[in-house]
Amino acid sequence: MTGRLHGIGSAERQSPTVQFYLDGKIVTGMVGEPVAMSLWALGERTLGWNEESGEPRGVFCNIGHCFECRMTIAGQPDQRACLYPVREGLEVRRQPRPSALTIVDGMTRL
Amino acid sequence: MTSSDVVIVGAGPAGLKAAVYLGRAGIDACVVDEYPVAGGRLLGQRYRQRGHWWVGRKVAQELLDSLSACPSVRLLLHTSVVGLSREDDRWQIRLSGADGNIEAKAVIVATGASEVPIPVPNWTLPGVMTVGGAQVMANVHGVRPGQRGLIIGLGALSFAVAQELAWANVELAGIVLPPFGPPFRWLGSVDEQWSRLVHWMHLAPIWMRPLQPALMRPQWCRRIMAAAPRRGLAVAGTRLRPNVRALRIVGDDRVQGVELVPCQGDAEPSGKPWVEPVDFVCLSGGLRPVPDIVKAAGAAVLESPGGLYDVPVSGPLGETTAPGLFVAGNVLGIEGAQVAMAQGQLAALGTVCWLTHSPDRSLEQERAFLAELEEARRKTLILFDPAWPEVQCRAEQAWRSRGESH
Repeated sequence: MTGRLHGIGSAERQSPTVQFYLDGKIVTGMVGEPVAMSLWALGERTLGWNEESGEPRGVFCNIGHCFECRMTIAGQPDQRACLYPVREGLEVRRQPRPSALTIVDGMTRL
Repeated sequence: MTSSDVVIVGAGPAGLKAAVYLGRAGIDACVVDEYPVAGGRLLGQRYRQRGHWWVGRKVAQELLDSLSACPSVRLLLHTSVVGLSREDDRWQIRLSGADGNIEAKAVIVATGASEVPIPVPNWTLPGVMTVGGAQVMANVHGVRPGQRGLIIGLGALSFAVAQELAWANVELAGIVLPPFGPPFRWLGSVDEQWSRLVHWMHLAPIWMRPLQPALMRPQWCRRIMAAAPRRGLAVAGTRLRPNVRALRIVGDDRVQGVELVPCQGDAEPSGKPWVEPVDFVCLSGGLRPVPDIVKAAGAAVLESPGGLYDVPVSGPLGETTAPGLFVAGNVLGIEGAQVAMAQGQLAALGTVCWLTHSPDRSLEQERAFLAELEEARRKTLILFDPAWPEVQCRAEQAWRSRGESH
């Protein structure tokens, strides 16, 4: 796992690993950490897509304020992945990207 | 539905300190927090203060150890408070999901602060995060935000987080100014952004110390910043680049770089733009209190343009204009964790007085706690925003004159 830091503070974090599912594929995280952190450490940066523009979204505020990291977790839609603790066998899914037809016409990035 | 004498919203320094006080008094209390780990933003803090290390994670652990000896207090984590209302002299605290409601006689709101985003073009690309978000990622979870990053904005957290990332061996391309134009005008002119640096100059690196008397004067600080080379000044393990602005973030489905341009103050760019290759960006626009559920509960909140300085009208023990509703911590204005803890024990004292209907409250205890608050303020290293003392003064005045308008 190249996305893990080994410097300061890492000694306090020798957590055992857990296996969970991302879009049906088995992936590994650390016990107790939020889903978004496991995914970021694995290099998974796109956690979903904006429902109107179809643009990719990742972790932004990382403390549950911005709701940008919404995913379907344990069958419940729109869970904030930055708050949801990972556990063995947890099912995590990216919510579907809107098709080109439904993307709002003329929507531009700020 | 369950019930508790007191519900504390937020398990950060203010909420946990309040919980410890209530727990030691044997009062039945429940601490609710959205995050799966208790400690709030203490968890990521790590800096040197007057020769000592402040390791927030340890402070949080000490508070949790004290709480584990208090059987009357329980912690409810990964649970959001989605509603707060008063019915039949009781507070109804509505929780997210299937967790239902809690009924309480008193509530302490310690919801802290949130970060003010800077809407740099393409700021929604994966890899762009708030500077506090990067701090949580690296310091709390040991996850690398990216291979090479850039901090946009001269906020109070910019330097602390830059230093922490440097200690964690995460490379940074520096700290630069936000873009030009109306969306960014609320940050103030470049002069104002530079002038704010004087409040953090006591944190300056050793090589800057001889310049300190000059840097403490706004006009000299400005001149030194204007004379800084484009590659920047070595500060906080990175380079402060006060003459470089970000124009936009570049990338398709993730951050690949940031377009930067040399500039002199608020004048037009003084050179050609270039793309600095980075794979993550931290936006540092400062912090603002989160008094939303205080407002929802019907307590008076002093409002401000843009909501950046909204604070509850509150008394010395964190009393609000709603009966049995108390506030503590950054919801009262952006200050350090030690101040938040002092406010937490004051609010807990206020809550005990409220629960026991004791008008002749322990003045001695109150005086001691107020003195601790003053001491914490005096020791503060980082003045987040020089506007806060004035805002807090107005909130205090509004509390004292609250009866007069009726």
